[in-house]
Amino acid sequence: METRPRAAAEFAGSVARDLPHRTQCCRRRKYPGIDPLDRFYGAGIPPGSAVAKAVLSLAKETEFGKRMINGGRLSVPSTYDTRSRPPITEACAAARGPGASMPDAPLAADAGGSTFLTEAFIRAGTRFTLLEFINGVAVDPPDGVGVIRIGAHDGDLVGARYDAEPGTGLSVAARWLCRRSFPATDSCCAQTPRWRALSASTEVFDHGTVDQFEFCQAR
Amino acid sequence: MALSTSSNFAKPDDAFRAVVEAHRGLSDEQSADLDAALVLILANHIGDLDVLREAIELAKRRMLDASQQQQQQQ
Repeated sequence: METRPRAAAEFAGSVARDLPHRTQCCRRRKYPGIDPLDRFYGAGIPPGSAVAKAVLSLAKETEFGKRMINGGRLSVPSTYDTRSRPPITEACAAARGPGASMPDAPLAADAGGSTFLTEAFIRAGTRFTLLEFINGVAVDPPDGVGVIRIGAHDGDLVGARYDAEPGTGLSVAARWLCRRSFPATDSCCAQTPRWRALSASTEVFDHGTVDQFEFCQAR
Repeated sequence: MALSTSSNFAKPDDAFRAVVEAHRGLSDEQSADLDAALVLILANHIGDLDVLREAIELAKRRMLDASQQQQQQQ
């Protein structure tokens, strides 16, 4: 951590400076500023979405309320009991659990424009994809695993929504959130000796959901 | 004319989505501000005080129901 590169230190500084609400939000297990459409489709009723709550309550006694309900948009994915995956750190425990839908967030595009995390995942393909928050340790992912790298230039929202913790320890290269579109086998952990999963859950997840892994790069 | 609570949009989901999208990126305070303006604009478009009163009553009754349910759960 002493040798953390300057960019990473700056990233850590910017998160600490600009997200004073983060600790508080994580303690309450809420995610700051997730707005209704900054999520994958079918991601459930967003926190604080008064419109969604209103339409559900109106549906009890009005026909128009019933007709306005879109089951896909208002449904909430099943999340898995995180007791099956013991939390590694407090920071991890506060993040979204396995099976949860992925919150979207704005990112900086390569050409200097802006894009969204969901779009980055679409570009990365439907394979096992790691979401890396650069914390000073270069990442060399196993074969067949995509990587989306999040840096300081991507802004703070994505870090806040995934509770990224800059410089979370010396041996842990990064905390990972994975999207998988195939049955989970943990093969990416088991078959790559250079990587050892500190913790991984083995349930099969639906398309477009979060899983949480913590990797330790073998030395 | 009584308040119509039957479904009047050909594509109700599109109407719902339009309202949700209007709130994208807004803070809670800004959302409330938008809603207030929206209510007045639509109320004026309807232009019928009886209908407006019925709509207010329905919206309030719904709030009351929700708070009663919460009390029962506790």
